[in-house]
Amino acid sequence: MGRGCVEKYVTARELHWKRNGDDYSVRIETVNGQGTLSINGRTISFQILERSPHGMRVLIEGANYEIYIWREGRVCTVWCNSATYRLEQLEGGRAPHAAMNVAAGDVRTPMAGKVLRVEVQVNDSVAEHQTLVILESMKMETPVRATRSGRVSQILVQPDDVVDMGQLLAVIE
Amino acid sequence: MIRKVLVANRGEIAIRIFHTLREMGIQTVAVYTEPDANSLHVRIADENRRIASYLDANGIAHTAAACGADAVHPGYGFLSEATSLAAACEKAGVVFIGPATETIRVMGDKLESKSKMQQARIPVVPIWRSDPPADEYPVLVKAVGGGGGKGMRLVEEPADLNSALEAASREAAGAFGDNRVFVEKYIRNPRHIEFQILGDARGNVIHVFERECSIQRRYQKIIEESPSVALTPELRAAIGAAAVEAASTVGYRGAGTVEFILEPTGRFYFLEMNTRLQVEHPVTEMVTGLDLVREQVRIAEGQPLSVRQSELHQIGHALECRIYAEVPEEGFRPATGSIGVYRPPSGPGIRLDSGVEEGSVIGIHFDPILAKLVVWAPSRTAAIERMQRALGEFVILGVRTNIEFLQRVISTGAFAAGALDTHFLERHTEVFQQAGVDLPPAVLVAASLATDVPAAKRQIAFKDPWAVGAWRNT
Repeated sequence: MGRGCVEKYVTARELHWKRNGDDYSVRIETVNGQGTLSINGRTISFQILERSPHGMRVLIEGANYEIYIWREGRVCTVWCNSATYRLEQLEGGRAPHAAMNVAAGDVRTPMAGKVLRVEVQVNDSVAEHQTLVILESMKMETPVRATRSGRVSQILVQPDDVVDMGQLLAVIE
Repeated sequence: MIRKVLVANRGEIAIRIFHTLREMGIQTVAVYTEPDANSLHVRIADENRRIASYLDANGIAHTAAACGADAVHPGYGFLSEATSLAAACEKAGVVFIGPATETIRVMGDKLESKSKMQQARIPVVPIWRSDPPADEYPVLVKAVGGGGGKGMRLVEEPADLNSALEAASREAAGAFGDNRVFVEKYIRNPRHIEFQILGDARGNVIHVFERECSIQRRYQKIIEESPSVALTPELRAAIGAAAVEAASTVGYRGAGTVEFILEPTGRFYFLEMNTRLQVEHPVTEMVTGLDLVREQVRIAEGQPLSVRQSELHQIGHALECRIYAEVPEEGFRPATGSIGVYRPPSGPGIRLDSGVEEGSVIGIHFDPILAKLVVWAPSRTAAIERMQRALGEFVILGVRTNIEFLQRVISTGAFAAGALDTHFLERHTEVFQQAGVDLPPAVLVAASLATDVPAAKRQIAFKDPWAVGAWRNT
């Protein structure tokens, strides 16, 4: 992509969830950690304070939500402030199944952000934990490291690309 | 002198025993079967050896001898109360950390142990080998070689006795290889009170106070505490004396537990003796400061007990919750999976005996206990509050657990009041209702942001001050 002086990016997504027989159609927009959730005609503003591989901290109307997430197939289990919620993702916003079965050589983003630099090239040999890509997210640089040692067979992003959490960046063979 | 110990167990109890052994400067050997090759207990031991089965007594004893271990610690469950392991160790020239083989045999036989207790004038629940008098109903049909509620049946009417005896006998033959059954008086609404016992090779026997384990599901304990609110100092002294007498009668050597049931009237009856370390032993350690595994090792070395009865005191209050991979709301069915997120609680007064970590696979092969969460506080009320906090901070995702169920149980008014008996969960059905029907918007935000969305469903737009609403599908 590489569009020169882009200062902000917005991602929007629509998903459908089911829990205890209730359906939730959700539209989410985020701009650099700030976002809005639209659900059944209601719009709620939120802020992502912190993100880790399996968790995040979300601020909504001044309240702090500590969250951990685990996904298996279409079921997303979310621990939020001492309670656990099991959500099933319905058709429509359904993610490709392959994304759930993470192969050992797949290098994915731990968070949404922008690619600052790509530090390796296709066919490079890399060691486990070697930095492959530098992401920028919430004004911080985050290295994405090799999940195993091997040869880089694919690089799917370039500097200035905007990436989602869990997006495939590179493949190591 | 014991320098190296093989622990014939797995999971949290193997790890808990390793901790003490390491503190004592003793080398540790783990054993494992195929599904456990990468388990936590295997990785933290100094050495590990693969065995055919955790139930292979001869194999375990030979493995211990072959790797130069001086002793075998059986933990709980598996072969801890089987005479086969104690006997195999003896043959292999390895110390068995537990009582004499004959003690295990006598106390493991529910009929023989009861008659021994009766001879020692310890009250036992009335039993019959055949038809009990009609006015003694309801009665329980139990397996002589049973445990954990298996082969047990409640019979309300004399007319139903024969079919219950037959069914229990069949079940017992299949489960324990012993079809003998007997009939026991059924005590209504009892509390389960047990006393920790220590006996050394010189004939000294002391008790290390009680644990109350009245919160049970399917005859298995899930919440235990010490002290029990039901015991007055007089009652504690009386049951404690009976427990010491019970152990002394059989010349008990090692750590053991004498279980009683306590009627609402204050009458108590000997139930059985467990000739091993108990799952819930940490609550005793928390209120007394004693390390029961260290005492076991010392006793096995032939050393005297490290404390006298008069030196022991119960200080404060300890509670234990057993964290199981199970779904209480669906009949406590065992849950399987792999642990994707594991965030244990911490802070003052919290002890976690855990056998798992992130990445652990919970399969169908073994008991679904994941960890034991134990808290200590100066009072029972403070201990409950501390347990509420600790359970509230405990995150396990990837396999379903009973954490929220435990939270609901300890948050009932009845639990706070100490109004406990072994039918607590049958009566307080509200604890099976999952609270919090509302879905916090934050949960939808997190789930949605953590989901891979196909490119066609994802819109990425580049906003600049001069072009408003420039949406573009990528």
